[in-house]
Amino acid sequence: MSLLTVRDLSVRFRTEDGPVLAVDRADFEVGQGEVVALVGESGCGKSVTALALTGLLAPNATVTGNVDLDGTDLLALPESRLRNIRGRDVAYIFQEPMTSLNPVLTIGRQIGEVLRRHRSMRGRAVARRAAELLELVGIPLPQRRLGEYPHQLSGGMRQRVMIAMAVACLPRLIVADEPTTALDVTIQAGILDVLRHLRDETGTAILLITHDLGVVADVADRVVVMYAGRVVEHSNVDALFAHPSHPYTRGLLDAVPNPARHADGGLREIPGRVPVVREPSDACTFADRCSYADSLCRTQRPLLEPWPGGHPVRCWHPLPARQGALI
Amino acid sequence: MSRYVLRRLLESAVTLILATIVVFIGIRALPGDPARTLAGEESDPATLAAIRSSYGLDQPLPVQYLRYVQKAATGDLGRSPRTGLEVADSIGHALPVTLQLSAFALLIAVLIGIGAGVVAAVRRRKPAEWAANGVALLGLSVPNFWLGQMLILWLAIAYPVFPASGFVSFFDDPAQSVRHLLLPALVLGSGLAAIVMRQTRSAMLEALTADYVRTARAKGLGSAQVVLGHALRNSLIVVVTIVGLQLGALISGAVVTEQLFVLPGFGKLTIDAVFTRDYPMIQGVVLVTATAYILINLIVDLLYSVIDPRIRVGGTAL
Amino acid sequence: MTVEASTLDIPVAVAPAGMRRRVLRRILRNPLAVTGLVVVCVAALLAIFAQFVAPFPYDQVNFNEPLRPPSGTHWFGTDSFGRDQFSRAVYGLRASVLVGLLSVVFSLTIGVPFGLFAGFYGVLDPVVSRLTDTLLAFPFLVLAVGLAAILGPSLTTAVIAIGVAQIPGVVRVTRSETLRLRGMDFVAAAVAGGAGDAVLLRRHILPNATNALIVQATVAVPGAIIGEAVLSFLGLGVRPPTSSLGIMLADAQTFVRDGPWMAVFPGLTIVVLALALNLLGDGLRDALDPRESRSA
Repeated sequence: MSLLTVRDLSVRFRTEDGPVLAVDRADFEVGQGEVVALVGESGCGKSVTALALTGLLAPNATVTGNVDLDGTDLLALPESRLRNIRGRDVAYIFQEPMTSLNPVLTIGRQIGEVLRRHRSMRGRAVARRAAELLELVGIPLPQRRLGEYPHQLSGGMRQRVMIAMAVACLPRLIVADEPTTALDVTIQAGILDVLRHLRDETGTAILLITHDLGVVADVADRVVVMYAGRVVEHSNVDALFAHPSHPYTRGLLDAVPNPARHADGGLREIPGRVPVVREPSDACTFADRCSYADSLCRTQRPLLEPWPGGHPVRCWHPLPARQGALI
Repeated sequence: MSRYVLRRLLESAVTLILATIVVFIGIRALPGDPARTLAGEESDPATLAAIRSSYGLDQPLPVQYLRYVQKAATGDLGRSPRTGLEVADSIGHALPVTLQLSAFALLIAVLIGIGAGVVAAVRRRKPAEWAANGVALLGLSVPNFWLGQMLILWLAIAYPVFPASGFVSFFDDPAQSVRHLLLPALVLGSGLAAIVMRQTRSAMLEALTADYVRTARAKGLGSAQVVLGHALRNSLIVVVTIVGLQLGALISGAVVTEQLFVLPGFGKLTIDAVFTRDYPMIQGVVLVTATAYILINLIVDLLYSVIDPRIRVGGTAL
Repeated sequence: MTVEASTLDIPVAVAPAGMRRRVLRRILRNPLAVTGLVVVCVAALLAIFAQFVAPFPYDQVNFNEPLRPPSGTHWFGTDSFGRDQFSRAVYGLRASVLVGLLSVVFSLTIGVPFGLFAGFYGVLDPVVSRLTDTLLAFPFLVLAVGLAAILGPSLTTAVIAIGVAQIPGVVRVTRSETLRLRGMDFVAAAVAGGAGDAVLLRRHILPNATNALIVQATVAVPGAIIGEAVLSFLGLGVRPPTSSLGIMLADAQTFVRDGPWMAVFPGLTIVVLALALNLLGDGLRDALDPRESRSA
C-alpha cells in the first residue's frame, strides 16, 4: 500500500482567455520513504499537480479525482481538515526561497509558526526546537539565525530554512517544487544532500518536482514523466534512464548535455512548445511534436499501460530499448 | 545608527533650510516696505523703526535671513499687529486643538481604511468588495467641507445629536471632547480613509498572491493568520508610506474643518490671519506647518525601519 | 497561482495607433468608465455653453423671490438675493472645469521637464528630490494662504496654488517612468543608433511615459476641482460676484437653517463631477495597464 495514491486527478482553471485543462487524469503513487521525481518541461502541469494535492490552488481552479494519503481522500476533506494536514503530514518546499519566505518576519518566527500550529508548542520550547531544526539542515550558528530576516541569508541558506520549516513536524510526505532551480549549481548539491539525509533519517517520502534530469538521477528512486497535463511514463529511475519508452522522455534525455552520449557533438532539443490544453482531447497531446506520430496518434488517446517487458508508458509507438544508453 | 537614518536626517535638514528660505523670501516678495508689512497697516514711525532694527531690515539679505532663522529657532516669531500677542503664543494655544482633531481623524481614517481595505481584498468579487470600493470612491469625490455641511445639517440641526461647533479638550472631559470632535474628525478623516482603503486593498491583493502567502498556507495556517500575520504585515509598509504622504492633505483639511466647525485651532488662526493681513502670523503658521510636516515625515520614514527589517538591518534595501 | 505559461512582453518604442484603439475598446467595455465619460462630457458642454443653458443670468437679483426651495422655475431653488441657483451652478461648473484643467496643465508644464531630467540625469536627481520635498512641506492650503497673501485671492491664485501643489506628484510619476524606460532595450538600441539625449527624451521616453501621465492627470483633475471649491469656500479663490460652486457653498453657510438646498445642490454637483472623473480615471488606469486590470 502506497503512502500517496493519486487517481484520475484533473485540474481545470477558469481564465480570461477561456478554460485551461492543466492536469488531465493523472495517476501516480509515492511509497513510504520513497523519492519520486515528477519531471517535464515548464507548463506541463507538475507544479499544479503538487499544489492540487492539498488544495493550495487559487479559487479559479477546479480539482477532481482522488488523492489518497494513507487511507484519507484529501480532495474530499473540508478546508479546515486540510489545514491540519498541510505542514504536518504533507509539507512543501518551493522554488524561490527569497520570495517564499516572508521578508518582514524572522526566521525563528516563521519556523516557530509551524510548531505552534501543529505541535501546540509555546515559549522557549519553540525557539529550542527551531534551532534544532536549523542545525538538522546544516545551518551554522542556529541560535543567531533565529533572530535574523530572510534577506540576511544567502540563497542556499534560505532554502535550508524552507526545508527546516518543512520538516518541523516530521511530515510523511515532503513536496519539493523545483527546490534547487533558483540556486547556483554548487549549492544545489548541498541542498540535495540535505533532502536525501532527511529521507534516510526520518523516513519521509519526497515528491520531487523538477525539470532537471541530473537532479533526478542524483536522488530519485522512481520517475513520473508528465507532458501537457498527462502522465506519459513512469518507472524506476534506472530503467527510465536506460530505456526511455516515450518519445517525449527520450527527447528530454537527449536534451541533457552528455559528452558520452553525444559523441557527434549535437544537443537535440524537442521542437515546438508545450501546448495549452483547453479541452480533454482524444489524441496524444505530444503528437504535434513527435516524429513518430501517425493518424492513430492524432485520433486516439493512448492509455498508460506497461509495454511487454517494459514499464508503463502512454504511447502507441513506444521506443524499443536502445543500445548503450547511459547517463 | 544606520546609514539610512543618517541620510534621512541630512535630507530633512536640507529640506528644512530650503523651506525657511521660501518663507523668508515670501514675506519680502510682497510689494512695499517689509517693515510696514510686518508692523501692520496703521503703525507709527516708532514701531516701524523698532521693527526695522529688530529684524535688521537695513542689513543685506543674507544677514537678515540668518537673523530671522536665529529668532525663529529661539521661538521668537514676532508679534501680531492685530492682537498684540506673540505669534508663538497664539500658535501654542491653537496647536493642541488641531493636534487632537488630527489624531482623532487619523485614528478614524486608519481604522476604517485598513479594515475596509482588507475586507475588500479578501472578499474579492463579492458584494462586500463592491460596497467598500464604492464608499471609497465616494470618499474621494466628496469635498470634505461639504460633507461637514451636510453632517451639520443632519446631525446638528435636523436631529441635534452633536454640537455644530465648539471644542473641549480630551484631557479636560474625554466624553464631551469626543462628542464635540466626532463630526469634525469624521469630516477630516473621510478622504484619508478612502485613500488608505484603496492602497490597503491593492497592497493586500498583491500580497495575497505572493509566494510567502502560499508558503504560509502550505504550513497549514488558518486564514486569519495568513491574512493578518503575513499579507497585512507586508501591506502595512505601503500604508505607512501613504499616510506619510497624506499628512499635507490632513493639515489642509484641518484648516477647512476648523473653519466649518468653528474650532479655535491652527487652521482657523491661519485663515483669520490671511483676512486681517496679519503677516507675522502668516509667516509663523507657514513656518511651523512646514517644519512640522518635515519632522513628521522624518518620523514616518524612521518608522518604516521598524516595520520593514530590510531597511533596519543590513544595507541591502534602498 | 495561475497556469505556468507566461508570455514576455516585448517593449515597443512608441504606442501604435492599434494600441490606442484597444485602450478605447477596453474603456467602452467598462460600464462605470463609460458613465463617467458621459457625465464628464455633459459637464464640459454645460460649462462651455453656460450662457445658453442657464435659464437666468447668474447675477440676476430678484428680491421678490429670496430663499425659494427648488421648483419648476428654479430647479435648485434661489438664494437670499433671489438668484437662480441652477444658473449659478452651471456658471460655477465653468469655473470648476476651468480651474481643474488649467491647474493640471500648469503642473504638467513644470513637473514633466523636472521629472524627465531627474530620472534621466542621475546628478540632478537629489536636487530635484529636495525641491519637491520642500514643495511638499507646504500643504496645499497653507501654500494657497501664502499665495493669497501675496497675490490676493483670485481665480489665478487658485490655479497656481492647486497647480503648484500637484507638481510633486507629476515629478514623481515622470521620474519613475523615465527611470524605468531608460533601462529598457529599445532605449539602449536608440543610444547604440547614435541618438542624442534630446532625441531620447522627446522621441523615446516621453511618448512612452504618456500613459502614466494621462492616468496621473485624470486623477488630479477631480482633486483640483475639489481644491477650487475649498479655496473659493474659504474666500481664497474665485471672488464674488463671479459664480463658483465653492462660493455658493460659502454663501449657503449662513442659511443652513432657512435654505438647506443652497448647500445641497452645489455640493451634489461637485460630487457627481468628481465621481465621474474618478470613475473615468480608474477605467483609464485599468485600460492602460492590463496587469492592473486583471487583478482589479
